[in-house]
Amino acid sequence: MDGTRGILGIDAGGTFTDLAFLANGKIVEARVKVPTRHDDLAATIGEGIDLILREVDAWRIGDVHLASTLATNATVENKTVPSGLILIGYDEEDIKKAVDRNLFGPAEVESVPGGHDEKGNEKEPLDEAKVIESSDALLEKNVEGIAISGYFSVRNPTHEIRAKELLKLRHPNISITCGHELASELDAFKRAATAAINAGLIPIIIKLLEAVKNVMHGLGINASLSVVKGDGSLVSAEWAESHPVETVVSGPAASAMGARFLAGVKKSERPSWIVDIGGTTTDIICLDKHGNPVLKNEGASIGGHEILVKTIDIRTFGLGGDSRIVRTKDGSLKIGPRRVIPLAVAASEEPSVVNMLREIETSPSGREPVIVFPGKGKCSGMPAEERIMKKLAKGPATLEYLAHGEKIGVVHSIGQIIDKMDERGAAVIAAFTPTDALTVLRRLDKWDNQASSIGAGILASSHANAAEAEAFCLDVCEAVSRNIAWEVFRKALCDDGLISKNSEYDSHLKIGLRSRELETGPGITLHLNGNMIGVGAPAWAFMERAASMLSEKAALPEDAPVGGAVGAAVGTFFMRHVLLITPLVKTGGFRVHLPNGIKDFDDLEKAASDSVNFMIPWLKSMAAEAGGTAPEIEWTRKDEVAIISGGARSIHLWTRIMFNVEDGGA
Amino acid sequence: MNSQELFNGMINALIELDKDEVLNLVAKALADNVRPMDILNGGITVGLQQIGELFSEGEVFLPELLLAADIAMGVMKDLSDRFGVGDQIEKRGRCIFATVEGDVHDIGKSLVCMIFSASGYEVLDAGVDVPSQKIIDMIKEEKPDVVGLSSLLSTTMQAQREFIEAAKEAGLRDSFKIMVGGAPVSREWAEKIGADGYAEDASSAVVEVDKLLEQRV
Repeated sequence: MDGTRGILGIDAGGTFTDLAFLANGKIVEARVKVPTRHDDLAATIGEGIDLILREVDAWRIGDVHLASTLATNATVENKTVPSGLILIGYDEEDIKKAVDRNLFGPAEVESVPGGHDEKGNEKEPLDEAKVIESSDALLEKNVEGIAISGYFSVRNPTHEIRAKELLKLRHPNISITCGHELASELDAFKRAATAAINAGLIPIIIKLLEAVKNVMHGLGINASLSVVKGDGSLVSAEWAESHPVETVVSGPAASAMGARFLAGVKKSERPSWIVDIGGTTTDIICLDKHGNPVLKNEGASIGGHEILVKTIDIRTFGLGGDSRIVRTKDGSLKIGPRRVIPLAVAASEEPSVVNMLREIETSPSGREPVIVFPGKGKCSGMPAEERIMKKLAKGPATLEYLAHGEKIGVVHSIGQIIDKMDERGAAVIAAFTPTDALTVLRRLDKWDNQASSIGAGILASSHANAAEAEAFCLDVCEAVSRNIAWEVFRKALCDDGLISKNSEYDSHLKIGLRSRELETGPGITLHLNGNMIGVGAPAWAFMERAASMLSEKAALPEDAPVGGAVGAAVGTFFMRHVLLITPLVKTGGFRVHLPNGIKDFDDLEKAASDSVNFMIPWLKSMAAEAGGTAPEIEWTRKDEVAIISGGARSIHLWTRIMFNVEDGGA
Repeated sequence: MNSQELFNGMINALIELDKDEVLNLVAKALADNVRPMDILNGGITVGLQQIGELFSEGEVFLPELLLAADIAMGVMKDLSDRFGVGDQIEKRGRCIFATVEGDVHDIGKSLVCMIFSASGYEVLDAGVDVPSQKIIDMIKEEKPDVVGLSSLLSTTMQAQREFIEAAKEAGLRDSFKIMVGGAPVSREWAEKIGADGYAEDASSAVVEVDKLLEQRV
């Protein structure tokens, strides 16, 4: 082992915490996986580092990069600490309604006159005395942080900035969050909720990061600590401590970047499509050609809280290795979205499953290979359900057995009753899944294939022989791959704005995907311009075919199980900022909406060049705060115009200057 | 005459702007026990839609369209007063129409109001020179399905964009559909500012709104 220093990436996820140490041109030298203890993330991380240190000397760890579900979990479970929210220039009636709808969670709310309009003009002067008064009232209620949100503060943040100054003088030890610092999108209520959640997360993230620093210190690691944000960028621990809400969904972002790195995709090539196939669902994340996640501006919904921060754009759909496969009335296969126990797994735990499946096979009414197990959930109180639960108490059973002796109405709806019980956990369903198809085909040999084979035979047709059952399983694998390919291609078209989310082109796409299997196909070949990278347990089985349907090859990286930790390790600092210039119609001229207020110009060119001159040093100082060591700034300008008056004229809508700050020192 | 023949007669009479004949046929239909609602849906509204199409094609002119709308409204009011049809008719949707701040053009917007009323929509006319904030307040109160904004000048068009921004900031943007119109307005403009729909004239506006509200369900 040579003596170079390297980076330790940590992904503290919902179930497992992964760690990976990368050095020497970013080679993965050590990796571990430990179960996450939600009550003590720092101890979990300590446990993981301890294992890493068996392979790597402590002094070699020069940087620690952390992605964690802390912010997401605290938000979902409403475990943020009490915060105060000062709303400037909001309508009193609207505030009442928002509080009634629990939009601001546990935050204490105060309202202050002020705010701006859509042009960025002052609607009403800021009532500074009321700001002080409100903050005193909030502190009396023992809030640990204060959030400030002004109406139209993204068009003119001066009232938020002034209120923050006043609070800093009045209460120098309390953390203060402004809405415009976190969000650039319009929606005063979501922005306020985002600021309030941020204020409520600050003490929690500080506690975690301090604990992690102590753990590192205790293990003799002298390294700087950085944190992965939900947009995949890396920021200093200090920045994360004041902007914790920006770290939601950092886990999937880190996983996607890790997958791309492990697949060996070089910079500035093509976009990458990361397909993460799990047991229940599949996630698709697109990374741009620079390897950064494609972001969505409209925010994320985290446990019912609408959070208006930029996060990765992730598409999740109900298809996985354990998705239930049923035959619909028209004879086609439906895969997912419900997750069940694969028959092979059920039979390995309960050998009687095989005999029950044989019963279904020979029964005249048996068309679906389903075995019902007792669950831990409670009964709904429906008499039929009570009787079913009594039968299940003796052990797993077939639908036919459960329906036996019931009235005709229950017999006909037995499947639906069991589905409802499964949703509540009162019963657990074992059924045929893609995992079973792989087991029948002996591509997966973790389990005995007897149960899966009988299941395949039942679904294939009532008297299927072994060859027909195998052919059916090949069809299942093909269908899973086709569904994945279809979702990826569809997302690509949606992202490019070529189709809408609910478009009617789906059938054409499906024909395109099938054209290669039909001898006289319609002659359509779909081609995705991007790397397809598969991760997740069953990716090896379906990704190669899914990629070939899109005329691509799939990469299936090794070390993908710790992809999140690798992604955290290879993450770098970057920052994006958009500056808006709007036309002033009444007075003529142009208004620049700067991060410290508005500025009016007569001439658009002058407005654009002056703003760039203002923004570059401003962004450099922000970057330095956020942990960028040698920020390099690129910018592009877009003047949006529309043709009007039947083509006779054009009109200027706005100008946007997009700044891209990257770390040249990384 | 069966009821379809009566309806066809009403449609033709409306296009010919023959008020007496329209009223005569409506009376006949009522005498034949045709339901008042069917008279509106099968005859009057269809006739108005057809004359709207003729207007779009330049076959009839504005005064004629206004006269037809006036006749249709008269029938509707009469049936409504006598049979309480107004309460029975399930309105196709609730709309607020306004001419934007800084713009005092009334005719286009009023025509749209009239055609929408006559086509079975519930219409709230917010007037002319209406500031965004006033429309936002009205939306909170009235909870419309559609808000239509008219602007006749390229200088006041920006107010349409600003209204959409105000609706977003108020957290109301997804609660209704936004239609924009007016002489200079184009579909490209409508799409770029984030409006849901655009129409060149009053009767194609009805078709566009019908489509938007169908998507919603």
